[in-house]
Amino acid sequence: MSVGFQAVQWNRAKITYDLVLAACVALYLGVFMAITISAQAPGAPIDWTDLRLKAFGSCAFLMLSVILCIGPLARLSPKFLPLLYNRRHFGVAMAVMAALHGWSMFEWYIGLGVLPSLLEELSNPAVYARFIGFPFKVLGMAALAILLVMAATSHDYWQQYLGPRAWKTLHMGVYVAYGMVVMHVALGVLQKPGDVFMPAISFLSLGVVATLHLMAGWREWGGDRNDTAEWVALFPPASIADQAARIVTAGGERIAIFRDGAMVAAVTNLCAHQQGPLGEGRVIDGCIVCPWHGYQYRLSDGCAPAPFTEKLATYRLRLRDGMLELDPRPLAPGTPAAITLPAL
Amino acid sequence: MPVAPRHLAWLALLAQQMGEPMLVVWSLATYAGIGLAVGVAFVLAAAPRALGHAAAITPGGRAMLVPGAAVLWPLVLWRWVRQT
Repeated sequence: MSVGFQAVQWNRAKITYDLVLAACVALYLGVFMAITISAQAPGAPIDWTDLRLKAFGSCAFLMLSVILCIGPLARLSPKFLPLLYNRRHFGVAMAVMAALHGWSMFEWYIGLGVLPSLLEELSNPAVYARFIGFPFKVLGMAALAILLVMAATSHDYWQQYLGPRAWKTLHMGVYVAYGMVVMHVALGVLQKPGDVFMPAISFLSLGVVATLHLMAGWREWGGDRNDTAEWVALFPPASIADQAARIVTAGGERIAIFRDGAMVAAVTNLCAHQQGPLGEGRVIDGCIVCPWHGYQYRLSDGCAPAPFTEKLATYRLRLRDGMLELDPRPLAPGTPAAITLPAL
Repeated sequence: MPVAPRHLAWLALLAQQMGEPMLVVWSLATYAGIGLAVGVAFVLAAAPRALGHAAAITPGGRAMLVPGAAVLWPLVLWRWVRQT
């Protein structure tokens, strides 16, 4: 998967995903503006810059909240996996919305001819000591900077250039950005009482994001097996859906146990590309397919098919008294370790 | 204004003359300007070899790399100089 790079690796599913995403964004912006205009007093002039500022800002916030919900939702139910497959485009679209919101803010200050007052507001140390009156815009700007860095490096090339671990760490910054955005919204609302919509959606989305993460974490924690014994008893092979996996934690590592007909194999749950959750993927034509970006690995040995070179750590499995047993010590990446069972 | 360490005295002087907000704005603009120049040069001249193996990158792919190279330009430039 790393032989060549192109702008976007399009396929039919990605095009459909992006079209639906663009339609949803356009619909939201249209409905938001229509409702806001209709709620104004008859004959009152429309401040288009302010309207765009609020529409883009609320849209970016909702998109960011949805993005953060996709991961835990996909862990809770495979029905949500299609949302996960193209999350990168969702993230870049959200960063564009956030940038438009930021630009609208500058446009608003420029329109009123008071841009220097923005600089004075942001550079006055006294206001940073206040709670009410804190320059909430600085939080929004910092969050925007994080989101733009993430969007700019949302390409396979940068993932290889920085290395998976550094790239992943950089992109975990989305949680820092989300925290800043929540504070940006909350402090902004405190300074402009009367607006009900933004506090409502911000606290609702914060609650949903936090609850889903806790639910997904609780569910995975409940299934963890931190045994360090040489062989760990798991479950009957028939309990794994055909061409799918069950994820276990053994020896402190998350391991995906895949079944393809009578063949069963254990591999690390972390994709070699971006450490995506392989166990949430499928087996297609004898290859494990990562749900995030479609990277493929042979079930038999964890190697990506030629000409690609990525390899996964594999684990030994055996069948005892109708139960699968796993040796939690990883084998060298690319070591053949799949077993073929008698008819299930 | 707090007293700056001696090696940052030039920065304090600049802030005094320009005003701190404008200094921040000009710093960001300078970072972005250098980033754009380094980014374009990197994707045109060095990006295919920077991964340690010869990688094929389409023209569209190169265009997509410019923002990332511009953002990460200090790292990109440092690694590029080291490689050459």
